Amino acid sequence: MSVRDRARRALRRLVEASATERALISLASLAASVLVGAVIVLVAGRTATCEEAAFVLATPRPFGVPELASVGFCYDPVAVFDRLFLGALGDPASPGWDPLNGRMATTLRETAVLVFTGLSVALAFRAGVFNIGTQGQLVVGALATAVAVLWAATFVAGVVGTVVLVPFGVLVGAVFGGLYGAIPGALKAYADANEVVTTIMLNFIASGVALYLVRSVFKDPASPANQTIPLPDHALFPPLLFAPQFGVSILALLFGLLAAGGVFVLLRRTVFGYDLRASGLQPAAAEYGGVDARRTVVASMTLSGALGGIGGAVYVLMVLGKFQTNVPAYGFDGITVAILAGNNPLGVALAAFLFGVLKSGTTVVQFATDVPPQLVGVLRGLIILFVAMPEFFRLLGRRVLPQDRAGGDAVAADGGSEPTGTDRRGGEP
Amino acid sequence: MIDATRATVARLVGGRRGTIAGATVAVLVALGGLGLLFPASPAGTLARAVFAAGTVASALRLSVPIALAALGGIFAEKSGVINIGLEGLLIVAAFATVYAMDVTDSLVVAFLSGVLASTLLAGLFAVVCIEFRADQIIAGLAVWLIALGLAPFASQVIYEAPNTDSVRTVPTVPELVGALPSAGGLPARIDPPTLGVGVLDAVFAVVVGLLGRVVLFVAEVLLASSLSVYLMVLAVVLSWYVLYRTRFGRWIHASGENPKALDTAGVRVDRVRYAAVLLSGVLSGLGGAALSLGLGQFTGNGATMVNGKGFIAIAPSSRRCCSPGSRPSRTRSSWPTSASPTPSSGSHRSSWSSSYSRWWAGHGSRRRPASITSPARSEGGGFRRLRRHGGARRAKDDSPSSDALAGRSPV
Repeated sequence: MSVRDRARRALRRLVEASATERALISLASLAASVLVGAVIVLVAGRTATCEEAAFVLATPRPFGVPELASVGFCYDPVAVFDRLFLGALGDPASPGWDPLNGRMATTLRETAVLVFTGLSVALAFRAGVFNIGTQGQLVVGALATAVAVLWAATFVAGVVGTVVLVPFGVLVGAVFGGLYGAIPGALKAYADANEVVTTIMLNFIASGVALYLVRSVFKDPASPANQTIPLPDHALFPPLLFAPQFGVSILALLFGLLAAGGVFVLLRRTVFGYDLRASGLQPAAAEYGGVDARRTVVASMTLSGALGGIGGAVYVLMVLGKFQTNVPAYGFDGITVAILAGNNPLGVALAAFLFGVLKSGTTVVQFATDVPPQLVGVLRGLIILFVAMPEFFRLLGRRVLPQDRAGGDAVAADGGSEPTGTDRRGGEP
Repeated sequence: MIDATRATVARLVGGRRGTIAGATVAVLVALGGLGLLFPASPAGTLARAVFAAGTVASALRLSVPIALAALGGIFAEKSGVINIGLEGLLIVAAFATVYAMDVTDSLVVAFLSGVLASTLLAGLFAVVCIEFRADQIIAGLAVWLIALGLAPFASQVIYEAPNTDSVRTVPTVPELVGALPSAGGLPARIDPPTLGVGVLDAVFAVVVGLLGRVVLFVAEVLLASSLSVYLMVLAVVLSWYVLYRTRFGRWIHASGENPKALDTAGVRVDRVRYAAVLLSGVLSGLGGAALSLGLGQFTGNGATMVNGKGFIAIAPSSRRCCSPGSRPSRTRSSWPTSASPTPSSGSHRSSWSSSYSRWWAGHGSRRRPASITSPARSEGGGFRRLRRHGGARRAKDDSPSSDALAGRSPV
């Protein structure tokens, strides 16, 4: 075995270790935020007033010792998380569970959109660009898709219509989302504008312009809401397995998984992907190596915007069947998804499913318990906070794990040798 | 002093900020001129709206939360921590203020509660960023998301709706001091004194008429403004003084621009950063309190009542844009600012240690790192001090080659 092969193998091992570590950190973050969330539920349960305590904490009574103290809480944290996670899947533990139930459908519906927004953020992130504007790109893509498909739906009908219109709508969403994403990209590349600020501001512009356009140009005269005319059924994603009223299509979900795989291949196996990652990790080195930094920034933002726009197209063609102002914050959730996934496209699919569960579970929590559904928003923030500080878990691991074996230290010290975490991926072919 | 003034003027006129400010003034002057010349045209209508005292007073009122949060952002950013969680700080402060006002009905307690809530959250952000070396952008976003969930959650728990009950608002000066006339109660114009000499009277009429208009305009704006506006002006002046005229201000600058030098001077960089981030919490807290007490209610639907004001505040505090006092030329250099808003693409690398390594990367070509560390080591002070905050980690990246790979460079 040549030295080169050996080095390559060692490198690959490192990459895998890093991926495992990142997955562990994501899981630990989830667990930690659930714990903190439970504490918040308990504290809030003390603050709120209710007729009867939903949850009682009492001192244990072994061998007939009288109860010393008991505290009642208005909210039951166990019930909250039971509803949040199991309720979102339609209670998979119960007998007679139908995997095609309504809650599962909601979860998968949210997942399908979040995969695209998550990929959008992750791709830009990989290029070293912080695209907070996925929300705006999604809105632009969604409106463009709704209008374009409405126009095109008059020409074709039936199964042929579906085959033609759905890809057409997705394409239009991608083009418009991509163009809208290219604006902050160009501003960053050629005018040295901070993309965090420009993309956030472009979100406001997108929703404002969309509101104006829908209200004054594309408004459905038959509806009091600010929405476009509903699209005909043959222009929408066909609901293959699920009942049509759930607004979810396995095809869109598969398309999302395909996109995740596509972005993975693009980043790992193509020259463009290599350039993109190189500019993200070390712009100066990438430029020295011949990468056109400006063009890469614009291209990655365009691609990122296109993915956000596809998310909008899926939202219109699968969930709503029309464009409506007040689009849910899929773009912002996309940031959370991407961060939780460590910007790994395949991880995005998993993280999108988790956030699909959280979003769908929110409604279940709202129905089944008295706990305010905004709790899920807090959980989302906590997850990101914990993911942001891997050092916390490394410290914890160092405390908990005994230092008996040399490898034990290595696990902890892996955090210490952080630079490898970055140059690993940079050096990987 | 004169030199300093001249330098400031030269920088203002020569810099991009000067261009922007000049363009703004030019547009306003052009609008005013057009409005005066053609009162009936759309320009005239627009000019009347723009130059109305009510418009200026509203603009001041609406700018209070943004300005205060931006001041906080400047403190954090100058110390080397980019605080993107300003939005979240505003949100928690806005809610806590209204809640405290509802419970105690005391303006001071309400403001203090808002400041306390915001500072606590800023403290969490500081610990996460400085102690656990989290990516500042991601941690800042987390702060925003937590606040975005927490404030409506608390409102739902306490008021059983995302919007709170209505409370008292911040009073204006005439509301506080009964003797002063209210904003609408000013005379329309000031009559010049008559002397009986025709020529003098005419001159007086013109001069007093013009001056009187300006004085009345300013007085009306001041009388219509709530105390929050005065608080904002005070905070701006104080912040400028602290940043540019005190030793603490110099520490803040140094901890952002050259933490190693500050460290060698014997000042704990992490403490300066903690102080700066906590200060950004205090200022954002004032901003959030002013925001919700300006309306007398906290509304928590959607993006809450803050609705992006914290993000707008990041723009002026962003080093790459127009942060006061930082020359654009510096931003491209290899100074160790950990405030680069570029994320490290998911690698959970501390931007702080990378700021050091970037410093090494930039200077390694000129001087070998060993020659920098060895004198310090022999003195026994500097090196130990360095070790205290992250020197041990950095010891590994002493070689410029690994830094070139690992560090993020400012884009």
